[in-house]
Amino acid sequence: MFIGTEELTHIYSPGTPFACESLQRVSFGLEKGEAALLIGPSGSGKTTLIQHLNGLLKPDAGRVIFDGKPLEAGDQSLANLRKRIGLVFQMPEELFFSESVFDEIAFAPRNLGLSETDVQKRVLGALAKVGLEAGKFLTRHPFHLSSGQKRLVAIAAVLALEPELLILDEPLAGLDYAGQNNLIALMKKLKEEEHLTLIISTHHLEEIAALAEKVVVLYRGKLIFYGNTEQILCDKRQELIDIGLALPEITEIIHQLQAAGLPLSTCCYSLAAARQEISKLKEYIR
Amino acid sequence: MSAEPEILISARAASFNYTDQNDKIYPALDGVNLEVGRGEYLALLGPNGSGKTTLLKLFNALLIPSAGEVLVKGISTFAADHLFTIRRTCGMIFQNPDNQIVATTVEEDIAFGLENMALPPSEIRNRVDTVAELLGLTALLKHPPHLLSGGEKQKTAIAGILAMRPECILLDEPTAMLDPTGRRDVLDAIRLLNQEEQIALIHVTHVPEEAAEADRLVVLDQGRIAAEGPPQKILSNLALLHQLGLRGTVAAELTALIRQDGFLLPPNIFLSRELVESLCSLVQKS
Repeated sequence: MFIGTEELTHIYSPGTPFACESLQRVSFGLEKGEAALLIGPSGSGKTTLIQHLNGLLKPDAGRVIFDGKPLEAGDQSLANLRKRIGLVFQMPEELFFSESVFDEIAFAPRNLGLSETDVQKRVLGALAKVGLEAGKFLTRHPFHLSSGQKRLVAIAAVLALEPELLILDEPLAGLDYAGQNNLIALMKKLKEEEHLTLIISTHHLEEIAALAEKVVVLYRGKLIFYGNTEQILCDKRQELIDIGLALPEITEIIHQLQAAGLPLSTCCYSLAAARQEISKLKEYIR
Repeated sequence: MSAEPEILISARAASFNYTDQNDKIYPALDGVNLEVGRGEYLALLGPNGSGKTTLLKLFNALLIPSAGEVLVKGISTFAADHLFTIRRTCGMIFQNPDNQIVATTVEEDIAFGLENMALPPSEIRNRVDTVAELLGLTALLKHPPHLLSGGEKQKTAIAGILAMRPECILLDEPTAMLDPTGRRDVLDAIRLLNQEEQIALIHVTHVPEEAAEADRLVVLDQGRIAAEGPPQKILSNLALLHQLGLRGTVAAELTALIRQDGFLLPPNIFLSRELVESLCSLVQKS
């Protein structure tokens, strides 16, 4: 197990009338290079779990395991860990504070105490990974970019740490279709070419489901399902709907066709897969 | 006959430019002409950076046009002494609820605008309870907003605006951070306010399925109106949407793909239900 939790419990405002058990004995594990989607209704504990995964919160019980060791073992300082575990917050561009894209991305590498030459290498490397042209963007004011570009700069600012694990909290929120597609392609590239381990919390399963092997489902602070994407999205469809989640519209269309008696066998969560599945119906056209 | 004019908001050749510290100009809106009727439900679609948020900000005088003018109930937003009337007419819901939550409990936050309107305490109590009930926030009224989930926070922000009973609500991607249930709740609630209270809505969204629910759809591209009309008409024009970097509904996208594969479906399908029905009647059930 590369990253995961064992019986992790978190209580907000313990000992007050507002005490709220946000995570209850949550256990899951992910191997290096895998990608997992973290899904669950609002308030189910997704963001709390994410904040535990890079040590921003301390467990009230249980623990987080990273690279074979508990997160708070003495020999792994948190500062060290955060170089290896990159966290992209929800709406990360709202944390921008620099006057140029360069300074924004350079913030973390400078804090690592790298030389300015190495900082520059890290910035250029990170910008290239997210597909933004250095010549066009380095001197731009981050506040003046489009939402899609801001999101990419915010992700580059985390990639500049060269993490092994990248955690993204609702990375697609607020992006247009092109921006979402672009970001899904970027995550796929980071996984396949840079071999990053990914944990992505999302309410939006369209197309993104196709890049993750695993799905973690949280509900009211409990991990209720954990397994392969197909297992969860296909076999647990009704259970997910019952707790207020929605499957991708494309999955629902295929499901409704099946329910209407058409001979379709698999469940699909991308347009391409649905098209292929439906093409099997050609021989039945009246 | 009502003496009130039928047009609530009009933009007349409205333009807006952002400038940076070097006085470099970034045009965001370019000569937009648009009228919004009393009680109308208008959806605004467009790629990131097309000017959607800027247009909303012009409508409640957070921004003043660089050229042209914007009239709210016939009052120009240039009239600084009428700002209060304009902002009471047009309530604004931002993309991120953290940007507009001010109080330490949900009920105080909902009451904030009402207190500023100097309403009697019993009326405030009444309105807070009514909107909380409508949005499913009753159990959370005493909770501190910073401990709520993103979806619950967004509903709190919406409740604060709804409670003031504006004539128009400007919604900037209000569902971007919500889970499917929260999204449905919010869409149902704003639809209800539109139908029962005749509150006009201007709903910025990236989700074509949401835009389909409006009375009229306006598509912005590079600061100009690229298309305007009934949602069915615009959302079934995939060529136009793709050219602008947008997508059609999942049903329309899938229909276009399988039509290429030889399934003779009608070209103007844009709802999943229509696709399922058409495909079932085309294919012989085995």
